[in-house]
Amino acid sequence: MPKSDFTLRSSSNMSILADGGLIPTRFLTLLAHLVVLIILIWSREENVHACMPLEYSVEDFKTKDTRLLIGLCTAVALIVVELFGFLSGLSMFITSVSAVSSFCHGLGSILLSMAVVDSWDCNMFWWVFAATSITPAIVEIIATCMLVILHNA
Amino acid sequence: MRAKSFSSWRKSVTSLSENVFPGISLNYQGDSLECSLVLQMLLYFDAVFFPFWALTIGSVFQIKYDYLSSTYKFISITMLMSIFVVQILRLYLGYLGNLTEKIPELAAFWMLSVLLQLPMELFLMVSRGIKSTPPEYAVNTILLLLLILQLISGYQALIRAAQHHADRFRQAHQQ
Repeated sequence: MPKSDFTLRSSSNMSILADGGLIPTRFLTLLAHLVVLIILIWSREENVHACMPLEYSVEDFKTKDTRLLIGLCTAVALIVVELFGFLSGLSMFITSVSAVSSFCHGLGSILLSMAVVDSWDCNMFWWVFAATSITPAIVEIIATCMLVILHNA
Repeated sequence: MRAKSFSSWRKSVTSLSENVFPGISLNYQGDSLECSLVLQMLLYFDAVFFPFWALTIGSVFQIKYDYLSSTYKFISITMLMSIFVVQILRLYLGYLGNLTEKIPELAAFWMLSVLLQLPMELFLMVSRGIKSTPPEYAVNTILLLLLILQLISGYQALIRAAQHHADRFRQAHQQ
């Protein structure tokens, strides 16, 4: 049986990606983060209410609401950028980018689900955003730029 | 670098398919492999995502079941069961048809997607009586997007496979 051409013994990197399941993990954590962000966009009223003082005006509420909405939409846009880089194959096979991305987006989806369920303060969102949306986006953009410009993974 | 990524992707897909369909690597007909990479990727990620879709929809459904009218209770349960079964069948046929370049399986996959899956998914997205919640909208949108992309690339894969078969028969006939 001519199996030698089609086995994954080329490098340990490849076996982590395919047999270890790093690629599906990255895909699922990206999608999970996206889904939780969409849920937050849809029902962000309670979170904005949680960070208001006891007596507040409608304009203050709307300002905070707009700011939270902008943050959430930016996070969605960063995920879309990262999905594009991942699915087009540019950063799909770079194990370090996949590992950082899986960890950050997994952590982000867990924290954001807790924010939805426990009605976290909307200021907490910015910490979560910085740690779990900006980090993988920066890593991914740097890696793809290095790949495209320098041809060096 | 990108060509190397595609060939390593092809190797990992081949090893996965070797695990699912043993002996498939002996079936390569002709000198070039014509299966569609885009379709294979879409099928792979759909198969990876599908259990989580089922979990999300199932858990949201059992919460909102009491709030539905009796008509929509019946409709929802029927739809969700049939989407579940059709999706499994569709993904299996798509894998088999694409990897072994068999046109009947690929055509069956395409027709199941267009005639059964697409109307049901659109109904889940658009219908108001079914009282969709934000998580359902998010997760159904992803499934619908994957479905539409599979339809487009599946159509192209079918055309390419049919042309490949016709070329080979013409070559065999000339010899």
